[in-house]
Amino acid sequence: MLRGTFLFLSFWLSANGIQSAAEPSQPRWVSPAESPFLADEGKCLLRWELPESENSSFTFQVEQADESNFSNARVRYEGPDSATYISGLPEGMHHYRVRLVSDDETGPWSESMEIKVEFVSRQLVIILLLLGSIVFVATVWAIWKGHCQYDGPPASNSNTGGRQ
Amino acid sequence: MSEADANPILNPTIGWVLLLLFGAAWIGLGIYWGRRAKSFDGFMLAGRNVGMALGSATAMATWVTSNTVMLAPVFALEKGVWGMLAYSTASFGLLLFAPLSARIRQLIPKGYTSGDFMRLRYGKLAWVLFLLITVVYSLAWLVSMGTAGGKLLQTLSGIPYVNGMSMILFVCVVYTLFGGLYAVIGTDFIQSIIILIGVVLVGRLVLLKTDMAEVYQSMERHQPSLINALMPVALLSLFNNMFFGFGEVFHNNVWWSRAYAMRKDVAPKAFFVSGLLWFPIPIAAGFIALSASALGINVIDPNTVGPLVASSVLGKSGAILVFVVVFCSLASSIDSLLAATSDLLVEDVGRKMLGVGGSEDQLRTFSKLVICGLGMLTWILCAREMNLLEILFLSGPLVASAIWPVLGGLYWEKASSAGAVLAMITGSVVGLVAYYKLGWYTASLISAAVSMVVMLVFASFQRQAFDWETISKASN
Amino acid sequence: MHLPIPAFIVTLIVYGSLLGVSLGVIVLLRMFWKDWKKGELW
Repeated sequence: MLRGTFLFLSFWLSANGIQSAAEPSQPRWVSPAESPFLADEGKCLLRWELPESENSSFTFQVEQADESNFSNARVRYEGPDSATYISGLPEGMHHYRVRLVSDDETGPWSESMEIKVEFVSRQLVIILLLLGSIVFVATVWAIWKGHCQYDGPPASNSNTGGRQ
Repeated sequence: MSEADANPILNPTIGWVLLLLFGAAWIGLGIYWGRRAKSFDGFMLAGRNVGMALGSATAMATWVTSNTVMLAPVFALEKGVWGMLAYSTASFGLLLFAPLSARIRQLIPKGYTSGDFMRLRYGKLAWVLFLLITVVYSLAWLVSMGTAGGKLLQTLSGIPYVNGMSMILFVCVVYTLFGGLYAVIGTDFIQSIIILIGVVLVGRLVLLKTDMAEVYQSMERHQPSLINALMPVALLSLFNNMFFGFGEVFHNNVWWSRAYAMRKDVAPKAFFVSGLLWFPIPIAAGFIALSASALGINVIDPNTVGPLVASSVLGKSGAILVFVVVFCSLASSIDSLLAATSDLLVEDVGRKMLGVGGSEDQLRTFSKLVICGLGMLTWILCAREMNLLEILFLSGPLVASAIWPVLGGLYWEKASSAGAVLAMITGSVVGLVAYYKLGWYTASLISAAVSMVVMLVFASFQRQAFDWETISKASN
Repeated sequence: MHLPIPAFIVTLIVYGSLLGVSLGVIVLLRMFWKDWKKGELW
């Protein structure tokens, strides 16, 4: 009977988002604001928080995985900060989750955060690289040609001013 | 506020001591060198007789801004190896300005500002448009430096943002006010030596804690795009940054005033050497951000990754080193920008547009008032904390649109006023649209391309050749 | 598409930049010394 009451209470507390004192809280994502988040430059700031403010110091563990079931997960960050800046991600979908860890126990994982990295289209990149090359060559050529044409002082300008 | 901000490495007292120590040194030197400025020409252009050593150092130090020290690591962190190289392409602007400076001195030997040239070469409309672009850019540059400085002092020493930023601006305004370009160029030499030594020391000490093999392995595992030779954003930022740099150097009075301040034979050589000296700096200052992951450093605010890595690895001494390097790079650029932009406002807006005249003393007083006003305006804008990259790159398409009007104006007889005006307008507008629609890394490139096409089309239809003599006659 | 830049090139770029900046200090000081001796600083 007692055991049944405890189980019911535990269920009720967790269903209402209230954690029992012994159990570490489940962090929730603050940034990015939505999942999946589209990161067109392969970078984003991951920020999380705990549902209630607790004064003790925490260690968070953030995992990253390519699969949604986190079968190939690896630790991306472990420490007291409640944010980490991710950069250099390759194209594709990346999954993140965060939890509290301590010497004695580990808390439940947060919900999964999906970061979708999709770079600008290759077609646009090739066009812009070509354009950049043309403008660069044209700029250098125009300066070189002008320099060769006008190198040396014109006859009328002998005054350089100042104390020279 | 990030966690990094909440736990500064240095005690605020150490921060204030460093600020006051260096601030007093720059002000003292500014007053000492400022005594050389006996005339208006001396105050504005350091007597037009600056030699090779001071000329190269001032060009290089001015180009090493707080953005170089703070943003080159951001480029490395977000765009990897190509990102570092992309930042370094800004040095090409200095290299290419070498021949331009020779032509500038040849065409307008007694000129004061870049606005002078635009007015004489293209007429009033192009001149006003050019002034608008250069004032917007110069303010954006000044504000981004003030913001970076304030943020850095807060991160490293816990000095409140507004206090640190105000102190930096105050020091720079005071010594520029007393010493004019003499003070700016003299302090630039000392600052450039401190910056170079500081950058090498930090880089070397970071490499003692980790090695490149470890850094590479960590990137391979966690940040593979940073070593991807085909990363699109990084590749595009290569050209974008280059044209941004061309636009900045070709149009801005900071560089034109240096071309006028150096001896005629010195200017091209000094700009070329400064470009060569500048090229490795963003890589040496930026690569430490690549090692953050290997060193297990958690980055939260990418804008402060450089100082964060340096101070995490090197402790208090590293934090002091970064503090000094950034303060020097801030001072070396803020002073130059204050001096050159106030020259532009005094000469172009004051004297030529509004007809303010008077004796040399009156002009000098007017110039000092403008420096104070500019410092105050920068302070007001800096008080609104803004994103560094956003401020810096939004002005990119504007200055990139001026590359071809300046270039064509200096070398082509057929470059027309209408072409220059339309090139600047269409380049800026299309570049800004690209900034928001395609991404910041396309804006300067597209602006430069559009501006180039417009200049070329108008030049090909122009019948009348420009008489170069009109410029030298008018300026004399 | 992923084409990694080889590790030795990354190392070369980093160490090359540090060497380049160190050379910069020497070049600047040397130029200063030459201009100072000739009285041509400014």
